[in-house]
Amino acid sequence: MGALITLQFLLPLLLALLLLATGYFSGRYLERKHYERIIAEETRPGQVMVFPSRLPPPSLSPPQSALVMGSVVISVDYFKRFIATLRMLVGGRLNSYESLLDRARREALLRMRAEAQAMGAKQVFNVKYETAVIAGRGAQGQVGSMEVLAYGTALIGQD
Amino acid sequence: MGYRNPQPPEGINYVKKGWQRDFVLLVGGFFAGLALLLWLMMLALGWSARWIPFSWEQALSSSLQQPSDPDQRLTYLQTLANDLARAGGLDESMRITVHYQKSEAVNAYASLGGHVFILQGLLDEVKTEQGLAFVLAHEIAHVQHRHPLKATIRQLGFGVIMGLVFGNTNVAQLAGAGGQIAMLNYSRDLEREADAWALRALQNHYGHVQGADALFQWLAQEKADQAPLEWLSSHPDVAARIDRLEDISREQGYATQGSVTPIPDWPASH
Repeated sequence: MGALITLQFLLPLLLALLLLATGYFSGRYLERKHYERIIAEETRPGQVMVFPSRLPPPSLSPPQSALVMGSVVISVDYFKRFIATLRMLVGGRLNSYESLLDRARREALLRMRAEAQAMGAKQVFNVKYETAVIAGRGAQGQVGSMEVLAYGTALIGQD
Repeated sequence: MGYRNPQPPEGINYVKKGWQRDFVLLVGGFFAGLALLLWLMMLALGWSARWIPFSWEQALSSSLQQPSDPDQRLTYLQTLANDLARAGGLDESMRITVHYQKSEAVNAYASLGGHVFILQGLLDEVKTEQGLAFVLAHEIAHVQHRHPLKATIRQLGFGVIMGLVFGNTNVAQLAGAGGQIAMLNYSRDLEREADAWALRALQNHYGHVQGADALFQWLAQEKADQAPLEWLSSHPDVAARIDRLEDISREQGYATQGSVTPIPDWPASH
């Protein structure tokens, strides 16, 4: 009976601690790797340039243009939600979601640039972002997923 | 052409190592704060138990009634309980009602409203009236100190706080498990309080405390390998309880030698 009581208290506690530790270390490792990859890709020489302005300058008038986009679908995991739940009690920046969304935006832009490059473009104008919740909104106990979309006009065949 | 895409600085749209710091600080700070809040609330609730009349407890537990024609065994137990209550100085407004359960488990417990349950397994193992009397007095002490009531309202208060703070989330399960372990600490304190009261009742009733630790000796011998770690247990460590009984006897000058009487043999009809 003693061993049973011990198990009854310790098992959920140990399980939770194990899950939290796993979430902490894997999350830290994966995020660091992802940022290293994002920054390396963003600063790569010959990367497609992006401009928020709606129209290219007249000197760049291209023979062809195309809509290019990059899309990323991300999901909040239980560990990030755990941190956010605690954060919401005291207020302040929701750091666990902010870094996730920051990576999603930058990854989406990189995918858009990759698409533009594959189409032979060197610049993309009129770059915009869209964010849409696609699952789990408002439902209790469900993790939320969202899409971050970056799109713009690629100028093709321009030196 | 003169266009460039400069790399924006890092750490503006997100805080570097932000959630890692959040995790450590919030988990640590939050649980420390919650523990403090619960600790204060447990104190306040335990303290407020004195203003709840015993009659409310009795009303809550009115469904527990002794059988109308108690057999020899129950009469013996009830008489012993009444004697011990008088010897220990049970509050005038309180009344002990003893119940007998035909169970192999070596146990006895007190419930709301002065209801004390004695299990057959206990009668089989303590052998002597003094050993039984100590356990019975220990349960009477729980009633005298309102321990079942305190435990009940603490459990209720704990549940309410947990519900308010966490709702039905994963964190609630985690904090609940930790909180239960903390509650066991209160439980062990109550047991020590009850042991001291019971020993005094025995000294007053029999004039000595010989045989009081019969159950503890049995537990130490038979169940030593099954005992949970103390901090995970609702009761203090058995060896420590035996030592403590000896310490109290020495300090209070209780007689440790005296005659012990065996428990009467009842026909095994029930």
